[in-house]
Amino acid sequence: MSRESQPVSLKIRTTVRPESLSLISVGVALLIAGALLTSFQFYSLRDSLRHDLEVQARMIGDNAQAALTFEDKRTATEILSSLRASDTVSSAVIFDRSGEVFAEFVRGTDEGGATMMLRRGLSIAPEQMLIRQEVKLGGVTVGTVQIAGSLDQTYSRLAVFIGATLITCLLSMLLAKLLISGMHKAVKQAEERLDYLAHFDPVTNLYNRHAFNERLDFAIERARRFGGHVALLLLDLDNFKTVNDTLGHQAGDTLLMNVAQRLLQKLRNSDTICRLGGDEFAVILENLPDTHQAAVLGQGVVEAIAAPFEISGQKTHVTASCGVGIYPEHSETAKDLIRNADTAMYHAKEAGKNIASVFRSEMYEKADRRINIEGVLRVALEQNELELYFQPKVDFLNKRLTGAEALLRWRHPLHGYISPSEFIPVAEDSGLIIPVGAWVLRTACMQAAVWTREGRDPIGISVNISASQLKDPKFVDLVADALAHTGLPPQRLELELTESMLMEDVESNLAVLKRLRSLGVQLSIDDFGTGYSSMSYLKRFPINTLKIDRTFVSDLPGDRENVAITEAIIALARALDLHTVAEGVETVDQAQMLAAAGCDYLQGFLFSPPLPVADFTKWWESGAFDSSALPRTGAGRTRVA
Amino acid sequence: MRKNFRLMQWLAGVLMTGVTVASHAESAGEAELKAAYLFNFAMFVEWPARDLRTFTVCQYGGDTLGSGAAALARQSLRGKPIIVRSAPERGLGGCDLLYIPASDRARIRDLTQGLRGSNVLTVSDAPGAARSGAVIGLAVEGRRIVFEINVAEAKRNNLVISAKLLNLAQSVMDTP
Repeated sequence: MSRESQPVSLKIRTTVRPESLSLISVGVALLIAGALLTSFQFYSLRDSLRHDLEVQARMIGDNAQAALTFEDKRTATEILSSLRASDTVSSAVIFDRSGEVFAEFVRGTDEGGATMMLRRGLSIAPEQMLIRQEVKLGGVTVGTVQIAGSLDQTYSRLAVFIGATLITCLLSMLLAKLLISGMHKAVKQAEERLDYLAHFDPVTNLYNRHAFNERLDFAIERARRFGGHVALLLLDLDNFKTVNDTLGHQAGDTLLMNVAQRLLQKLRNSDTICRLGGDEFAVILENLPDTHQAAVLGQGVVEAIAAPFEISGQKTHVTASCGVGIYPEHSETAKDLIRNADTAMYHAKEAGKNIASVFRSEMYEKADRRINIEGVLRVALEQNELELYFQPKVDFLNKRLTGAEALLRWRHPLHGYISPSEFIPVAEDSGLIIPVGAWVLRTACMQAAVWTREGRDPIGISVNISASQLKDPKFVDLVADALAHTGLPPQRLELELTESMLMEDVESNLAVLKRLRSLGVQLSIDDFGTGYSSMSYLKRFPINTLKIDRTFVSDLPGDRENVAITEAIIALARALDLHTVAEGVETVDQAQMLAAAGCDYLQGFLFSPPLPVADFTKWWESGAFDSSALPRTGAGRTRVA
Repeated sequence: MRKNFRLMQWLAGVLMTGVTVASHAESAGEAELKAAYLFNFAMFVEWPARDLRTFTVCQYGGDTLGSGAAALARQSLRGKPIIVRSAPERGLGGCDLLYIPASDRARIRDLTQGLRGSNVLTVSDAPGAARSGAVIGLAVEGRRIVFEINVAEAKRNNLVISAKLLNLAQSVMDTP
């Protein structure tokens, strides 16, 4: 794409310049250094030459002192000629005390002009240096020695120096170039690495969260302009933490890499796969023929991940929950799309994990409510928003009320009625079930005590107990407290436990049940027939009652199988010396059949739905289940709401 | 009459001085030249260390240096003022430098022999003076003066002659 290539070419330009800039700086620095050194060297050499010439002049002067004094020109000339050995001296003159030329020496051919000028003692060509030294005898000047030195040697030395400097500079430049290149390469590599890290996850080499956000924005923008859909798959590995803890982080990383591999294989080239962090992945799907394809791909991905992995010789498996969100169907912006896919993923987890779930708007409400419920529930307990409803249990044959099941209801001032199926799981997850359960126990016992004080029949109260409550070590004490606090005789309190709950942890449950029984409290198994119970355990549990699940009751007396099951349960209970209660009795036929079969108590809409205390009391007083109020049997089914 | 007599005396004196001068000394230029050379020679000779604060130049046989003496007396040699005096035969030991004129040529040998070891620089312009025992013998050649040096004699007098001077000498005698 042209958009992609543009930044690249810009990059090339900017990488060349700093490098050559560095090199140029080095070059300039070297040149300046070289120039300074060269000029320093020049002056140094010149000074050195001057010094040498002065020394020679003094020596000559010293030697010629006598010759000057005694006017021996021949000897003086001889002395001067010794300067031939000094290759920097091009000519020399000794003047007598009156300034006349006493003796002279000229190297090589006599350049007439030069000699003439020498005589006059004038400054000559720039390649020459003039030195004068007076010759004294006893403080009196007897003559002057003048030496003209040639700077030729100096210049040639300087030329050599410049040459050497240039070579050194070139070599240094070369070295600098190498170093700069190396450094630059390192910097470039570091930059590339940073760029990589900024956009990619180092463990899986997939895009990281940052790149994901960018790409999602691009994808949505493209879809906005050119039409089409963008689907977002959000994947969460379900039991990754377990794997990480059992096999170690190294193995965990390998697993993530393998997951990434599978994703790459399963998905198309145009799909953008990202690791958002931890065990979360995201896939951006574009070029979808239709929205259904998104769900298909989502499911495919889930299945691919569900296949077992082999990590360092061990077979492990993880599953993924996948949430699918689609633009523009579900959301208008990237932010919303992510949120919706996340909600859908959450729903997938709720629904049992290892599936892909496409977002629906209802989910959003649910999820929203779910996140709220926990917070609100805490308040509800304090604000007395919770209420107990009661549903009667009747002895059909004798037409009397024997007990009431206490059911928890919650009316929120703003959100309204919140069903127990919604908030009970939340309460259990958050541990709020303990204080809520305690409240239920106390309130139920209190109500029973109140009714007794009002002079009514001493009916039993049954309370549903959850698995968390059973596991709570303080539970038995809670029950004892509730009884003591309200003064209710323990036999009038019945605790209802589900079949499956009991079977979860038989041994510890057994111990708790025994303790509860020792208090005098009654125990019953709720939803009997729907769980996995073993008859031997059934025998061991100190229970009093079996409650026949409503699913068996509902098609009575027509459904032959249900009839058989129900009768079997009743017979079993009898044999084990247990009471039976049938739940969900809605018709007279059901009631009659059950009563005839020997079921002790009946509960259901035929008699009354769960009612708040006031209504229940009214219902109780009205004697609505009095035999006279009910139609005769055989006259057809009657449903009482 | 008296005035005339005095005038006559004066004239005679002048004439006689002139004759004397003429017979005893050369021309003034030459004398000064020689005196200058004496000075110069002395500059290139080292005497053994002495505590005297003056440098004594003796002219043998009277005012043989002529105007040169005055020139010498004006100068100092190595910080020591020069005294010029005429030297009798006796008492020559106090001289640093003894000038023996050419007219006393015959006496050179004896004089120098007698002065051995007394650290005197004997200089003479008599021909062959150096051979006769003077340390330095000089002669006028045109406008210059040439000289010969008797190193052996110098050594006998504990005098060190600078090589620079030896270098300039026409001949150097080292025979003992």
